[in-house]
Amino acid sequence: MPGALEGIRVLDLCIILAGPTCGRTLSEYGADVIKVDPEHRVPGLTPWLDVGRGKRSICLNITKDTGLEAFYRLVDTSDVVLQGFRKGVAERLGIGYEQLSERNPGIVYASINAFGQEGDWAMRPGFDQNAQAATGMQLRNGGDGQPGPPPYTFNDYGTGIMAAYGVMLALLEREHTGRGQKIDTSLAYTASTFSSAYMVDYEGYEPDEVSGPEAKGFDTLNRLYRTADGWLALSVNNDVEKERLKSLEPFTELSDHSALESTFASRTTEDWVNTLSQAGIAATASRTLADVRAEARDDERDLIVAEHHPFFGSVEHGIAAPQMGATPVRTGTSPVFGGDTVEVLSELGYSDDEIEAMRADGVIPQTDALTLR
Amino acid sequence: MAGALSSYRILELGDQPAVAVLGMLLADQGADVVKVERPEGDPLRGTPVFSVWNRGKKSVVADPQSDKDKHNLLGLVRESDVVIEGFDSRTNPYGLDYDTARNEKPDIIHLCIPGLSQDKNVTASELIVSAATGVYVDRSADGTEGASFIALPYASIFGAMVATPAITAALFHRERSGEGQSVVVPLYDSMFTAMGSAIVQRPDVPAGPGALSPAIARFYRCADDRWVNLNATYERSLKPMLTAMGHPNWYDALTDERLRANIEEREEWAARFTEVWLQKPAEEWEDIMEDVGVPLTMCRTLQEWMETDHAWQSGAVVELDDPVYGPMRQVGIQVRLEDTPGSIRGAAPQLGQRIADPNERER
Repeated sequence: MPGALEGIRVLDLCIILAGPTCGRTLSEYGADVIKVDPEHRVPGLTPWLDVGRGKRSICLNITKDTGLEAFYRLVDTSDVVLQGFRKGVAERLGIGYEQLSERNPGIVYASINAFGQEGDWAMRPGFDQNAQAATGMQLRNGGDGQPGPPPYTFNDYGTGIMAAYGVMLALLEREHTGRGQKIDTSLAYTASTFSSAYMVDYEGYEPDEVSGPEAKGFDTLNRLYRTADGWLALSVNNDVEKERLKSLEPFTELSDHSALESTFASRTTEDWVNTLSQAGIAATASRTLADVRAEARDDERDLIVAEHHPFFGSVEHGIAAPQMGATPVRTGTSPVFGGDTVEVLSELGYSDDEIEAMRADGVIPQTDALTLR
Repeated sequence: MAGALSSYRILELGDQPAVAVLGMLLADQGADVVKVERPEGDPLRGTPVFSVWNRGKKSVVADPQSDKDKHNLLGLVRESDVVIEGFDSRTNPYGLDYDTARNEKPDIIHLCIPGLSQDKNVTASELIVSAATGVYVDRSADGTEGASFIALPYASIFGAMVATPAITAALFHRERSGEGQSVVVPLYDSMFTAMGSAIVQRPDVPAGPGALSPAIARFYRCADDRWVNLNATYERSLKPMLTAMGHPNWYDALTDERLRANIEEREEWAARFTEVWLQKPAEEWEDIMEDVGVPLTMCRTLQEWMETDHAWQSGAVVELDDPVYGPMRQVGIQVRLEDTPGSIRGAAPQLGQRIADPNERER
């Protein structure tokens, strides 16, 4: 069955994680995503294997006239352009929204950067870490000590996915109007959304945040506890579950968490998970990434899969999460960097001679496959 | 101005944070979101976060114990385009699964965002999903904490984010084909997208912790005891940064390939950098580096972020009149479409009335 975005073509000019995640997400839903990079901007291999999946990859020098012309011809055949530049850079390159929508009024154009297109900091460059620094995420993790990031790059991936949401909203709207539009999203907006539970202020509001590496949870019944051999997450969410816990012998007299600490420390994590689960109480081991990987092998659904990469052999990565009944998502494989340049140019109608001339002019690379780090 | 979802009605069921946030992300883009609550109300009622995550929605009450309410709920399904629910199939108190919804409305889109995949035999809160997916690893400097809790509900909000393109794709497909569908997005499964490059395993690189950050991508303490985060990883950042630091002569040594490979030397450079950043306050360094285009950011608290001019100017934070809390600052609209920007449709609703029988309403 085809994906929901079958027939939609996307030009992805983004780098690092957030922007390329947007393109990858659109590819998961069936779009034909063409990653466009300058030859010298060779990405890191590990992120490429993650957020490059499901795309074709071309190398094109758009600072040369024939390269820019080829890009414009691609825009004429496309529905979506994704870019991650700071405000003003795309316009200088000749690929701003106004410039492209004049050629193709249906184009949907998403900007994905650190601080957005509006406000004092719109010109500030930044990686996800900078957006996290600005919005309180790192100080919270560090507590009294050195600030720190969360264990996974939620904010980068979340930003790419929210940009894909914006692109699809614009495509949905275009079904009725025939016109594309511009979308602004940023790492700082996503960080604000992740922080939304605490990002409030009103007359009389007292910030009360659990922070620092020593934090173990909000309260006695929703907390991490050390066991005889590891860590247990206990999650009691309502009175019914609380009564179930109190029906178990060691918990008849529920008091504060310090009393529970010695109780949990007396038995193994597995033992506690079994006992609590049988009583209808949610509990699980607090895992490390290595544990997660091992556990994933036993899952009914394959959440980590291996692909055979032409250069690197067997590579393991995650899959597209949503399970769609009528328009299934797909987990693609990652392309060879620049490996689809000739194919895409040929599709645009460039002759072999023209392609060779572009090669000679340094508009496209000398070789069809470039090595990643 | 109308949002891109302004012609759609969403029926929201469940008291999980993920489904509330998902409803908010849809309502901000113009969707008419109807939140179904138990007679006692959502458990988050009475806390400020309820006002944020449920802004712009309507509220109706349906008692899962009442057959009449459950019957009347089906009338609401007939008036909806999308049902979103946070329950898994075993715990859904209203029994409103995809097949039931489709019987009422053949082209319905039904999105279920449970904590764990259906085969996992536990109720899955934020805490359970996060613990099971490695979020609470020890963050202490010396590794003596064993496990570290994180207050932000990353798993729930990330899952809600993953669900937004899924719903929009389903609506897009329905516009083109007239066909609805079932969508399932477990928080646990979405976490494997958030792990991302951390779970990529290459045959040429052994699994294990990555190398230490180089001196040019680190946290540094400044003269005022505040921290900055530096990411001068682009070649083009290096020269302007070193010049602004007063050490342009470090350039040749720092671009040396050896620095990337040799951890000892890397730490020597980090020590030199540490001394420089200690000479000025964090915000001053931020201004200096902004002028030369180097990504260096003062680590702020969330409250400080809300007070920056940029957060206001960019709409990352907005103010909304709340019937409980008065003028209330909160997160703005995350994704901005220029022609159909959406809007926050109003404050969070008071607890609604029991769902009326749609037949009675018609009469």
